[in-house]
Amino acid sequence: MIKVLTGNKAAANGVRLARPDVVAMYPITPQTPLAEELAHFHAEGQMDCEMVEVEGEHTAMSTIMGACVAGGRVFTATSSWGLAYMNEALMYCAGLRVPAVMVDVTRETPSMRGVGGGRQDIMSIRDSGWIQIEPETCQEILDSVLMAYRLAEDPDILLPVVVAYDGFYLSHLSERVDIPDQADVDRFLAPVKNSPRPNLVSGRNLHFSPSIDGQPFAEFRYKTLQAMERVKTKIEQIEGEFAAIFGRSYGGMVDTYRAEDAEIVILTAGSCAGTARVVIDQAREDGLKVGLARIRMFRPFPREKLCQVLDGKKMVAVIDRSICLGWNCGHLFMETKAVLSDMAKPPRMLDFIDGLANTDITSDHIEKALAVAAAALKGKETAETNWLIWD
Amino acid sequence: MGEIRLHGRGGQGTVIAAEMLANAFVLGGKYASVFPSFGVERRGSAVMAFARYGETPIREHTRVYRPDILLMLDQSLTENPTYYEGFRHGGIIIANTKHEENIAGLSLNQKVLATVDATRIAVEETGSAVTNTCMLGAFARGTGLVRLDDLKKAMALYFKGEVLAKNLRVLERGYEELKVTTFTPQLAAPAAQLAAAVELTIAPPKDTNPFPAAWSDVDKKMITVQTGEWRFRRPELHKASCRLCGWCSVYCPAGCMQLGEDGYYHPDLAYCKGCGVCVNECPAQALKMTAEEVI
Repeated sequence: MIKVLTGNKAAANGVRLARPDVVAMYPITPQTPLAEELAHFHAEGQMDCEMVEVEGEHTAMSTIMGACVAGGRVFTATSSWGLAYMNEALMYCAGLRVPAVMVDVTRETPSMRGVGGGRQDIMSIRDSGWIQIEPETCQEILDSVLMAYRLAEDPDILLPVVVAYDGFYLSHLSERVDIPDQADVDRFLAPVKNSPRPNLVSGRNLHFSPSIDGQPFAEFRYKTLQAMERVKTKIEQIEGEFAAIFGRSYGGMVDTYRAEDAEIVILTAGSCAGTARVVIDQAREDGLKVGLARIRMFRPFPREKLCQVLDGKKMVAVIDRSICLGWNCGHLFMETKAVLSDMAKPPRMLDFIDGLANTDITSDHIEKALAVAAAALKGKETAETNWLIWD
Repeated sequence: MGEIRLHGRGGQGTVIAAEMLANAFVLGGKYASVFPSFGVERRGSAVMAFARYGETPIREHTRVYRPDILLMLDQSLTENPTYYEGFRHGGIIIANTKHEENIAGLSLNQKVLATVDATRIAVEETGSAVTNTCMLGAFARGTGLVRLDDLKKAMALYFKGEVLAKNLRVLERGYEELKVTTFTPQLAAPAAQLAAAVELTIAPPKDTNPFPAAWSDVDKKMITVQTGEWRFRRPELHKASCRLCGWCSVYCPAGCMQLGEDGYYHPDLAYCKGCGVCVNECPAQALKMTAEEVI
């Protein structure tokens, strides 16, 4: 069914179609209307689940963790300070390999009391063990929520997944979304009952706690790392199955656009990739060989895939919506830079920081980044990290 | 792809209007996307919404800076040039106003200027000055981009029963009573070349703030919001009934009922938001709310 939905409503529809058993959310700022929409579905009888209104995000995460360990399919949503507040439970969740699914509407955290858009909040949990998917459109948000459950609950993975989409620029953007039929979703995502994963309703006497130290802890850490690596092939497989049923796919871990013969690649993530596509089309008409690499999965980081995409390129212009304090650059730049040492002939890289604290990454800004990158390729001296907001 | 910017005041349904418009485009088989402005969205304060439409999926995820179409929901905004910033020459302006000539005098180089007295229509049909559905009817006629039927279907997603029935009449009257004037715009020279063709570098930021972090000197920089601009109605004092008890000044949530030289309490209209608490609390019924604008 075609509808006009905000990113938040698209996410809520994805969650509804996934048929979770327990949803626990804190409903007040910085929470988004996603929580309201889910409560609405529940009140109308469209969701057969426990809807727990908790007193804070720490409890939200603790609640869904417990429900998930008991064998259920679970969901929570948060944003900025809420993500920070659930940090302890969130680390447990990943450390214990509890396959929960969460939405984080990404925000700057301190700016505007926690409701200014940005990507700084989600970067604070990048090494927590959560798989991290970053959609570009409202449709991709809905589809990513469905794929997130498949990924999280896969017996080869068993890791929590966060679908992290841009605060305001996606969460509050309304656009045309195709809502899948429940029957098709049920074919893609089977009920969680009878899952082979260890849980507390298996009839066995099991003890489940992170309070272990030394070698056993290191062994679980090792297994977690291996599971993270397996995500890289699993996502391709899951997305293939998704495409077979719904006819949509997003390029796995790295989505590319006109990148095949490009000399300059704009590398970014999230909503501004759409604007970058428009700028790339214009620049192509002007004869500039430009393409796009959109990091769709930030954790695990698409190290191998990026090597393929960036192979033979002359310049990578990164557009970052968060800053890596202590590295004088943004996070996408820092992590992509680490991949260069895997390459025989690495491209040059420039970083462009923009869109902090709810400011807009406009097409003018992306054009400016491209102009600076093109000039640098011709030999013009340029700083490595640039801020697009200054004229 | 075309770009639309909607201007209204909080409480007039500007964002809902944009969403209904997007729904109507999609019902008509097109693509559309909508953003609200993000910031101080209080009842009465000036708000914006941004919309795009096209035959293919809308890829831009930014605000609208160079609108082809402006939809002005509130008459009090129509004469302020700042709300027309970035308007593309040769575009369409659809405005709620009785004074078309005041917009025509702003030298905006528009192709179409279409006006309707939406406030009057809304008040006549619904009893409130919420003009959004009237302006959607005006949009359908003034631009020809969406069908009135699709707008009606879109509205049925948001309203039910009597509210829907009333608003459908408002929509139709907006369509029918729109006055459309066409112009021969002077189009600007072809667009400047893409910035990518120009060699440039980015200068570091100018150091404009004397502090290393988010400090500010309140003696030098104090932001005050003229909340009086949000007002639709104002309290008016009838001295003959006033008992000078000062109750209104105790209850005013903005603290702006002040003792004047005449010994009576008067609202400071620079800050009075027109909430009506003073009128509600006055034991002598000496205060009455009056519409800001004569309809």
